[in-house]
Amino acid sequence: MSSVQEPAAGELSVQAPTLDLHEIQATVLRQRPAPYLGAHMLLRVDDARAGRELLRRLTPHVDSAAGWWNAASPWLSVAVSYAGLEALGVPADSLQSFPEAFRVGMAARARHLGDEGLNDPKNWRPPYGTGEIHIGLSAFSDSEEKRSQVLAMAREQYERLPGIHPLGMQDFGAQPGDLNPLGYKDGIDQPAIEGSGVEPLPGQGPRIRAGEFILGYPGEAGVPLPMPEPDVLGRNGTFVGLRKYQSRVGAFNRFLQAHGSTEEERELLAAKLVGRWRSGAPLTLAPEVDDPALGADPRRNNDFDYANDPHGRQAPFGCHIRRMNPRNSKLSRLTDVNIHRLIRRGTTYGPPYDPNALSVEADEVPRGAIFLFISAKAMATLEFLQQEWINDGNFIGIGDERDPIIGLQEEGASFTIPKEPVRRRVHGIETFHVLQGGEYFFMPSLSALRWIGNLVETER
Amino acid sequence: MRFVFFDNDTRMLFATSFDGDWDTYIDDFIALIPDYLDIIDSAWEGWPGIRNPGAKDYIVKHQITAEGWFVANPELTLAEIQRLQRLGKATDEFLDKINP
Repeated sequence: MSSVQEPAAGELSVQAPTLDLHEIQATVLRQRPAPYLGAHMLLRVDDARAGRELLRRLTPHVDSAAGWWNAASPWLSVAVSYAGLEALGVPADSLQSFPEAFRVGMAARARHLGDEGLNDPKNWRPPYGTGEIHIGLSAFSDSEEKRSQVLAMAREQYERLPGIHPLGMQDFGAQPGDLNPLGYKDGIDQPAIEGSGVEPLPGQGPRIRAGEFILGYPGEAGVPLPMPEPDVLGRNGTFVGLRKYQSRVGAFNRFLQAHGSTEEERELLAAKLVGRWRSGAPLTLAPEVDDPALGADPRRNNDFDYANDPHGRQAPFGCHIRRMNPRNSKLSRLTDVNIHRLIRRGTTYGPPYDPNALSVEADEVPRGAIFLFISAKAMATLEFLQQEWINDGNFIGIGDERDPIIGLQEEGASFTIPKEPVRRRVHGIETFHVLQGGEYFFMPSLSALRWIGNLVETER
Repeated sequence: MRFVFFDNDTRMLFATSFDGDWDTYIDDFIALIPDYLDIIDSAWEGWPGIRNPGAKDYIVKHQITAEGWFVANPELTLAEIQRLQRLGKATDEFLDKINP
């Protein structure tokens, strides 16, 4: 831990980390650079020996989280699905020590995730939902040149290795201005993790105990979460829920057009849906008009809570960011907000947001985001969020309304905007993000990657 | 939530009803009020303590499925009932104002 580098970004203040950063994969703690470019590569392992050979080749190139605040060099992460652990020849008693939801995979957990209708796994695009995804590689960089370098390096390890079958590669890259596919600045609010070595940004909330996000450390209840066995495999690893969304930009723009007669009205409605203006400025701090300087300032754009907005007249109860992090909102039952957080690595793909795209065809243009949701209990948290905070409104006292951005809307769905003297209810909200696939992965520590890579056949 | 001692105070029934998922219900309790739960549960034979990762397994092992369970309004959660109460009060206030 003594070799940590100086922070790259001026606003991050570094303290002595207490986590074993040299063991944890960089992607767990390192945020995307701005701009960011990269790719996700999905692989199938047809031969266990070849799979282990691949891990042995890749591991020296997988960056650890030591100096994680420095995102100037490109980096690679490796994650393995349950089917992948089987294909790599991980021993049966070890396989059995993984949580049930991880073992059956994301498609089989559709009922728990509310992935039905449009989002039903039977509508997913291959290779998602086929059970063939064994290894997921993700490469991140801050320039086109570095992106080519890291991808060439990754491909060199798996191409022409008999027994490894590439299933697909998804390029991703930040849109101009770091906007998401619906034109909002994203990726602002991340949980602060105790012992990771960086002073939280204002408004990031209390540091959450590391065990909620990384296996082998005490969680919020004071003890480590259950960990896969043996110890070398589980410790310093974590779980990843990958979800690929298609953004229905036409439907989103049509909704704004139908319910706002001027540009100002449409932008206010767009801000009410998310809880932030497109600039990133939170409604709680800029309730009437956008404040782009506020949105661009990482020391201010997340520095708020809902103490002065108990009726949701600034940020509606049902808006996206109040759902995903209710902060100190009054919730309808005893809830510890800190144990329902996820680290998210959002990666956008396709052309940038087009405010003039209104057609049904625009909904089908491949454009959207692939999210990596990271936590020591990512499966349980993702399933909780999907059931209670995304596809329901009961937890915050708004009946059965759903998340306006990533919720799966039912016919005739509405979105309520609290207002004086009477609330405004906007009818006819549609599903703006359609799930095209997903999978649960385990993101092992560097020692665990070496352990799997060096397994011998007799251990089965 | 109810706690009932029976069999000459040698056994205890702990019954609770809630809206939502079992695991997260327990998780939130463990995170927020662990000591209350341990005071109540400490007399249970073999109770590992609420902070023990085996606590949920213990609960599941001793859990008994109800033979019958009647809900008068299966569509209404507690939060919904509270919301409708607020709505009813607001409606009365509104009606009082237009016809005092």
